[in-house]
Amino acid sequence: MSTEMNDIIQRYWSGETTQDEEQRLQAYMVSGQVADEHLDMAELFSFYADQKTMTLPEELEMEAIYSSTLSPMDALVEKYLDAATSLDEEAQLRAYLTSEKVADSHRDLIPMFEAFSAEQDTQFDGDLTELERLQIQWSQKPKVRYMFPKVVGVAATLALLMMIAFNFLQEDTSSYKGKYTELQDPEEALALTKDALAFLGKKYDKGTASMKYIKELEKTNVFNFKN
Amino acid sequence: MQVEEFNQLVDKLKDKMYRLALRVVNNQEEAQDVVQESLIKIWNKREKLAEIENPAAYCMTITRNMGIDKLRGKKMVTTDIDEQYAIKAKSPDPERDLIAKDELSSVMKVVNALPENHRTVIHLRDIEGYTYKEISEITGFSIEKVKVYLHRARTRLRQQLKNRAS
Repeated sequence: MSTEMNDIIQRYWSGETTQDEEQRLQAYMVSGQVADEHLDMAELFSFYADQKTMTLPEELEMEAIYSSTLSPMDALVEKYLDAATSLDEEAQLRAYLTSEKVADSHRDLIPMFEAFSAEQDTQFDGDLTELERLQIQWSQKPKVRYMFPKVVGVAATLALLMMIAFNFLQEDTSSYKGKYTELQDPEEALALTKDALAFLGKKYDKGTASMKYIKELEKTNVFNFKN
Repeated sequence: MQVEEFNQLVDKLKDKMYRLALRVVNNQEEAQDVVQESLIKIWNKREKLAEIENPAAYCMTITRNMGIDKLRGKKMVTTDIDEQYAIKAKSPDPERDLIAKDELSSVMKVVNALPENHRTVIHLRDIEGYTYKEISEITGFSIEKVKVYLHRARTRLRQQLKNRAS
């Protein structure tokens, strides 16, 4: 191990180590099992490891960095170049660069902003006849294609309503005619009703007779679902 | 979408579409063709346009894509930028006009020499004033990528202008 590490360390100082070897070296140096002859180097790797854990304090916003080290306009220019400005800030920068108080260090930005501003005036004066032709063609097309689904929808609804209405009226006027006979003689009607009731009574007796078997079955607990 | 409604949208956008096309293809005639073809494409898809949340961004996306298609299909031929600025900058002082024109054209030459995605992003932001989100919608790049391209484009532009000046 020690011989191998010696070889890696030697090549590390010559700048010939691979990334893998450097990672192995780093792991070895912070492992706590460093050979005495490498202890001085372990201190350096411990410093590196410590540096790696450093993070930007959360309260330290980039805004604060820009403004603490630069003048407000320097800060804005830096922010602009970093693509971190809002549209409002860019408008502010534009106003500053078109004013009389531009610092020498920002003068190189003036032609850039002037060119951008001039570019906004570029207008399209090309030919749109093909588009116009298509639009005219579309406007002149008979609207049947677009009206067709609506017309069909309305017609179908009307037809359906008419069929329902027709059926309803037919039923209303002829529902009893032909199907039933109205008896004029009350005695005949009474006799017929009695016959009908007797027929029903017979059927009822048949029904109640079959119920007896069910009662018998209940006694045998075959259909006793309560248990 | 009806003709009137469509034409209102076109009136509002055609100059922006043209400027973007010009930035992408870097040639006036071809930029005009790109706008014309884009508008026809949008017209043919007008039913879809009504369902889209941001029709303006959609139109700009189509313009950029058509511009890129045109760019791919040809050998890079760039317009004489002086011609582009020939009509502009008319003032009673011809000497000053000339200096101003030179400055503008040299800036735009540097812009046009940037990679397409860089010059498109800087154009959409610094000339058209779109938000990062809108640029992301138009180009299909993430907001982070938009900012990276913008940072690179601005830094490069400033550096090259400084070099020219010195």
